[in-house]
Amino acid sequence: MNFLKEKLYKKWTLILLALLLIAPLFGMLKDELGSTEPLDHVAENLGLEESGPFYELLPDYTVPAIGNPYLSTLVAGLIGFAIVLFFTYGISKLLVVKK
Amino acid sequence: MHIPDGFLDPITASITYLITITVLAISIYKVRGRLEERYAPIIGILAATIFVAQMLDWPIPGGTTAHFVGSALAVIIVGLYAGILIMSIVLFMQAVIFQDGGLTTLGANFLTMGIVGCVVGYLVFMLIMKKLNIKRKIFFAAFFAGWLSITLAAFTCGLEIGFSTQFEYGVSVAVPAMTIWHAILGLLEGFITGVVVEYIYSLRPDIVLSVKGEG
Repeated sequence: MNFLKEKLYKKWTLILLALLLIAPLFGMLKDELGSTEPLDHVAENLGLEESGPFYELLPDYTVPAIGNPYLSTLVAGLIGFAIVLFFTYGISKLLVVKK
Repeated sequence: MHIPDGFLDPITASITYLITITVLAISIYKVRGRLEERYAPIIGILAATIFVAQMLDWPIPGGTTAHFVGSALAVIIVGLYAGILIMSIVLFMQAVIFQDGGLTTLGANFLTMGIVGCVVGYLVFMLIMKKLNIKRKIFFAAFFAGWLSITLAAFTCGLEIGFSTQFEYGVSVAVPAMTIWHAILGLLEGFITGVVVEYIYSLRPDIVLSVKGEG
C-alpha cells in the first residue's frame, strides 16, 4: 500500500476520513427531520412495500453491537471505506493494469 | 436511488440482472490490462470516495434527501469501463454489507447508477469537450455530465419501479416524479463533479483520462 505515502493520495485519504467523521451527523439530522429520498416518496405513492433484507451485517451503515449512534455509523463507515478501497485496489491490480 | 428488495417484480429484476451482467462482463473484458499500474490506486481511492460521498445524505427542504452518486466523476477520471467497474464494486458492497439497496434489485440499481449514470456521464463529457470551445470547459463539461447522468439514471429508476407496480399508471407516476426531483437535486451533483474534476485536473492533469481522450 505504498501509494498511501504519496502526497496526493495522503491528502485525498485525509479528506475522506474527515468526511467520514461528519457522515454520522448527516444520518442523525436526516432521522431528526424525518427526511426520505425521492424514491421512497414515489414508492409510497405507488403502494410498493419493502421486503427483507434477508440478513443483516452492518444494516443502514451501523454496527448493531455499538449502542452510540455516532460511533456505530462512524465504525461502519470506516469498515466500508477500508473494504471498498483495498478491494477495488486489488481488483485493479489483478484486472485493469498492464502486466 | 438504491431500490430495496420488494419494490421490483421478478421480471424487471431478472431483465435488469441480465443486462448488468452482460455489460459488466464487456466492461471487464474491455478494461483488462488497459491502464498503467499507477491507475490502480486512483481506481481504489475513487471507489472509496464514492462510497464515502454516498454516505453523506443531505436533508433538503421539503422533507427529501440527496446524496452524491459519482458515476460521472468516476468515468471522467478513469474512463468508461473502469468507471463502470468502480460503480459495480461500490453498489455490490453497499448491498451485501450495508443492506443499502436490495440483493434481488442489485441488477436494477447497477443499471441506473452503474450503467446509465456512467454511459451518460461519459458521453456528455466527451461531447462537450470535443464540440464546445468555452472558458472553464472542463468544469462545464463535468457539470453537465454529472447533472444529466443523475437525471437519466433517475428516469431509468422510475421506469424500473413504474413497470413493477400493479398500479395502472405506475410509469406515468414514477418516471416524472423521479426525473423531475433528480433534475433539481442533480444540479448539486453536477456542481460537485465540476469542482472536483477541475481541481484534480489543476493538480494532476496526467491522471484525468477522459480529458486526454484515453478513457
